Amino acid sequence: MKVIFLFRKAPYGSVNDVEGFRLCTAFAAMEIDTNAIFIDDGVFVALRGQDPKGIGLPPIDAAYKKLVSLNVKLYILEEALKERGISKENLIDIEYKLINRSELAKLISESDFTLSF
Amino acid sequence: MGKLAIYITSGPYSLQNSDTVYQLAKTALDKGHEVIGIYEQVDGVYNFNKNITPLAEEDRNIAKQLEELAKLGVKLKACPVCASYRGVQSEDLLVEGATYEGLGAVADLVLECDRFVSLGY
Repeated sequence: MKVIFLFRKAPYGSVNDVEGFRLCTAFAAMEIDTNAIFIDDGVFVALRGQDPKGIGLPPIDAAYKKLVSLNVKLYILEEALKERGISKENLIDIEYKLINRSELAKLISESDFTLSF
Repeated sequence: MGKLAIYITSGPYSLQNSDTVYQLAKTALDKGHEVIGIYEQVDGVYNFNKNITPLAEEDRNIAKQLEELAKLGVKLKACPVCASYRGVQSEDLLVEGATYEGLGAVADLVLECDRFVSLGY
């Protein structure tokens, strides 16, 4: 069983990323082959140096670092970074693989389930 | 015949999702499929609230519709953390047949079903 979580939205503006993260954690804890892919505005989750204290929220990047310790494989869509002017130096120090759109399509087609947040 | 599982993150009377959940599950059951469970996360937890009272008489009662599914053997589960964040953590507020259970229950549905339908924003 291979499951993909697609993260498509920027953090803080909606609860999507937080809830998707929680579900992703639950799957990984059950030793399911769990993969998290950041596409579209979802790539903002992986930005370095997030400091949302001013709006009363904890930084989400710390949470995502936990996924690696649960053996969740992380992928970031390279085109989405380029479209938003984000370079690799801007990303959090975390183990991930950069993929392009055709690799994304392949990953999705090889998975049993894809959940989109 | 297949095993269907449904997952929803939106609340009642805001998007068509809650109606789709009921109609899809009902139709699947009518056609002889099994609906192994409906899981509600985020604002979805409100769909199981037994105090839902549509003021227009002709309007459908989404909570009652889901309760009807539970009576047909569909397991209704909702996220206790989401419920707590929304102040509806008391199981007394849930329609008959619905319970709170952690997110591992979603993984269980995914592992058991043939088709998983996810509805959200």
